Order: sequence, then structure tokens, then C-alpha cells
Amino acid sequence: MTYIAIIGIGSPHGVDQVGWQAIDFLKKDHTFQSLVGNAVRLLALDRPGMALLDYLAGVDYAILIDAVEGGASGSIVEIKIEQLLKNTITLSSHHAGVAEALAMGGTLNALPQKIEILGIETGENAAPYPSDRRSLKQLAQLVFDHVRSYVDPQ
Amino acid sequence: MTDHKQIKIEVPVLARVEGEGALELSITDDHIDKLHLRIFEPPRFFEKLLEGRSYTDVLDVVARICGICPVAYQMSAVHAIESIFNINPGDWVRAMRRLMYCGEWIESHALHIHLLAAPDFLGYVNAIALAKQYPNEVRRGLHLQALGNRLLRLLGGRSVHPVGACVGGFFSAPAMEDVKNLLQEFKQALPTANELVLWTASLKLPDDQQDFVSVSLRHDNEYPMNEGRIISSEGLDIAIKDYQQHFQEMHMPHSTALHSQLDGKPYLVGPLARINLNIDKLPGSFQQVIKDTGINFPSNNMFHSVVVRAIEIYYAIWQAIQIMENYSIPDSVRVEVSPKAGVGFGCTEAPRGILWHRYEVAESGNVCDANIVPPTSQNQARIEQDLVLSLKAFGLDQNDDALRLRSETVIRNYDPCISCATHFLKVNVNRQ
Repeated sequence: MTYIAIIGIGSPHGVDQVGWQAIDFLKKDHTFQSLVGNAVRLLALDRPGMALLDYLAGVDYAILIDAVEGGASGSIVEIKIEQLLKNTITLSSHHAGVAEALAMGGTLNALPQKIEILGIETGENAAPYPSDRRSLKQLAQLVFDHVRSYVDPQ
Repeated sequence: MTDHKQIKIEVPVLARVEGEGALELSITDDHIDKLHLRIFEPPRFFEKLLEGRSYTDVLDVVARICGICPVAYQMSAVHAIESIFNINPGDWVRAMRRLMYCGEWIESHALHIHLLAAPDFLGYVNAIALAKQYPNEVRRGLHLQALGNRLLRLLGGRSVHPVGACVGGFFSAPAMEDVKNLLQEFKQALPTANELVLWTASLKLPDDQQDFVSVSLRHDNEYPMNEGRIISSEGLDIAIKDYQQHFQEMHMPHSTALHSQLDGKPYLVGPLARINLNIDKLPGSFQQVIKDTGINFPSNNMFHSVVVRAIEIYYAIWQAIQIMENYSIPDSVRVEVSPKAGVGFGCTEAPRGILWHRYEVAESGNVCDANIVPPTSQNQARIEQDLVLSLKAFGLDQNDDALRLRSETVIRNYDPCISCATHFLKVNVNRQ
């Protein structure tokens, strides 16, 4: 059996909550649910640090959704894992972000066969992120398309 | 004209340490003129944030002080508040709080050993570089951390800023099936933790014997976590309510974190202090494990802290197994709470050492005043004392890079949490 995980990452508060909002949206999206059924785990994680690897254990395909600082508020960006790993790794006991966890996972061969990272840009201001249904719908469609092409490559 | 060798080393950012801090070091010949652990993390005002809030908010607020040891903050707070309300939540709640604390010790110590200590003692820039050469060891460490997190999720709903505990007990009881499943994983992890103890004991740790005062909790019947009296290696033995009569907090110009002293002297809190003062409280079955480390406790070598963290992981797993084997679902997960006006104290053993809280609560149940003394704040003066002794033992004639690395290793050995302490590294070495 193939295991797929879609994980929203970040604080459940403020501008960082877009990952949580995306997971909540996907859980309520009947079209998405009818496609994936129980084959996909939908998770929202509050800044998991290295524990992210625990949630990726045994997963074949993962889509990570996180807020991205800057850009145009609500815009969706696809980030290559290589791109993320180019960033400075600042690993401490208290600070291990997505890049650090993925770098460690890569070193330990503990990552899913395929990972995609979707970011939702939050704009330049750290103001509370308004629930932008259009962006969330667009993101859900992107996740839908990725999962469908993974499950059925034809 | 006198020919003086003057050295000035600055470490402007302390790598792999949480929070904003720096070290300034000035050396003239074989004398350290100045050594300041500068902490410039902005004050966070958590105590002020608590004022005027209901006692029901306190556990959620104090959990936000630290993402690694939120349980410690919650436990010190809950004991303080319950002492004001004269609540005894009973044996089940007491056992579950100890079980939750086991989870925090496991995840926090596993992170420190593998992300801070091991790269220092094995000569790697960080844990990812370490993982390239020691993949199985790092994998083992992350597995243990994950186990600790699972225990936190079992009782707290989530591992970061858990929400399961409340004044009076817990919001819900874990399902029997979930406890049984986790119990099996913990039983399998006990030998793994024993391997970790032996691995840390095999690290080439500097032999740096120092005189220092150890301070910890002590409990009549168990290795201390949630309760006990405050004792020291110099004979102090006080109730937690008397903390302020013996311990002094003071502002230092170079730090936004308060320094603490015991009767005018620096002191150590944390795993090494804890085992130095409580080794007789570890189960008899631990004698062989401790003997195998080759260390005779009490130890005056601060670098033995990494081994103690591994021993405490082993202990926490053992303790969690005992508690989970006797687990049952209670009739009630919490006792009724009626607020009362008064002053209460809580002191528990956070992974980094004793965490002391004092609350004054009004009849309405709202907090009038809060005082939180975290372990990193208490260790600051001891870290500066240790740095002076360690660098002298290491040799002040070593080159700047070597002095900088040794300084950082000494500091990271305390697993400092600067954000917790601020109300806390960059290193500047000045040779003149």
C-alpha cells in the first residue's frame, strides 16, 4: 500500500496559520475526499522541528504546505527541496525548521520517495492572514492534481 | 616598556544555542580581564502577561515560554496554583503528571545530546554533519526524541505547547489501547537507551574537575521531578516556599536575563546537579548501568552532563514503563476547583534544572502577581564561573579559534535556553 501524507506546517495563529487553514480546507473538500478516501493522511503540525521526520516515517509521498514570508499575499509557490536546502542550516535544540528537518532526513535516508513543498505567500506584513478562500481553493486543486498524478500517473 | 600579550576574542553569535546571546572575553598574558556572557534577547514579560488573567489561562500562557520544556512550566505553575486552592488531585493525576514529565525529559535530553553535545565532542559543525558519519547514532537519538514526543501527545494532545493538563488534573484520560501500544514501544526502547548511555560514556570528554555547588530538588521516595525540597551539595535543605530567602536574583549590566546566586555564590542546576544529589534515588537495577559509564558520582566534571542526560533518558523510559504498566482509566480525570485568594509556590525539575514559580492569586482566581525563575537564568553565573576555570585549564595561550570553540562547547554543555532565561551567544575575545 502506498502512504501519502499532506502536512500543513506552522503556528495555528497569525500569519503562519495558512498551513493549518489549507489542511482544514482539504478536510472539508468533498471532491478531494472522494478522490483520496482514507489513502491520504491530512495533518496540521505546529512547528514540529525534527519531529517532522517522525510524521514522514513510512510515507511514500508527502506534500508539505507552509507559509512563505514575503511575495504577494495569497499567492501559491512550489518550492523544490533542493532550493530549500540551499538556505543556511541553523540547527539548535530549540530551532529546527522544515529545511533543517529535511536536510537531516536526507542525510539519514529517512525521507519519502517524493516530497513536494507548497508555499502560500503571506506578503510583507506580518498582519493576521485573512482566510483567502480563493487561494485555498487554488491550493486544494493543486494538491488534488499532484495526488491524482501520483496515484494514477496515466 | 613592558611587552604584554593582549588578546580579545569576540563570539558575536553563539551557534546552535537557542536565543540571542554572545560572549566577550578579554585576556592579558595569562589573566582573564573580562568574561561576560552577554544576553540581549529582549525581555518577554510573561509574568506581566499573566497579571489579571484567570488561573485557568496560566498553563496555556506559561507553556509558550519554551517549545522544548513547556511541561516543566505547566507543572511548576499547576502545583503552585493548586497549593493556593488547597487541592489534592490524587494519585492518578500525580502519576500522569510524572509520566508527562518523563516525555519531556526524553525529548529534550535526546535533542541536546545529538544536536548540541555530540557534534561538539566528536568535532562536527552540526548534527547533520555528524549524521553523515554517525547515521545510526543520530537515528537512534531522533527515535528516542520521537518517543518522548509521543508521550507528550498521549497526555497533552500535542508535543509542542501541550494542552491536556489543567488545574485539578487533566482534561481527558488517554485511551487504554493508546497506552498499551506506547508501552510496547517504550519496552523496546529501554535497551536502546542503555546503548545511548554507553555511547555517551565512550565520548572523549575533557577531564575538567571544578568546585561548584549543586542544587536540585530532593524527594523522599523517588528521583525528583514534580515535588520535593530544595537541597544543595553544601547542606541547604529548604521548603520551596523559602527559595527567595536563600537565592538572590540580580540584574547585570551585560545581560537581559537575571543572574542568580545562592548565598552570594554561583550554583549549578540541571542533570549533573540532580544526579549528584539524588543518585541514591535511582532504582537499584541502575547500579550496573551507572557502573558501566565508568563515572563515580557525585562528579565535579561538568562535561559528564551529557552522560547524565542519557542516564536520565534511560530512567525516564524505565519510569514511564512502570507507570504505563499500572495504567487504568479513572472515574474522574480532575478534581473540582474552587479559587481562593493566596500565595503559592511551585518548583519542579525541568530538563535544565529547577524551575521555580510563585503566584499571588485573588479570590476571583485572577493572577495578581507572578514570578518565574527558569534554570538557564540560574545557571548563568555558573556558566561564567565555569568558562573562567575551563579556559584557564584549557590554556589561555591557545589560538583564538580554539578558545572560541572551547567556550562555545562549555556553554552548550549547559543546554542553555536563552529565550526562557530572558528576562539570554555571540563570543568576543579581546587579547591585550
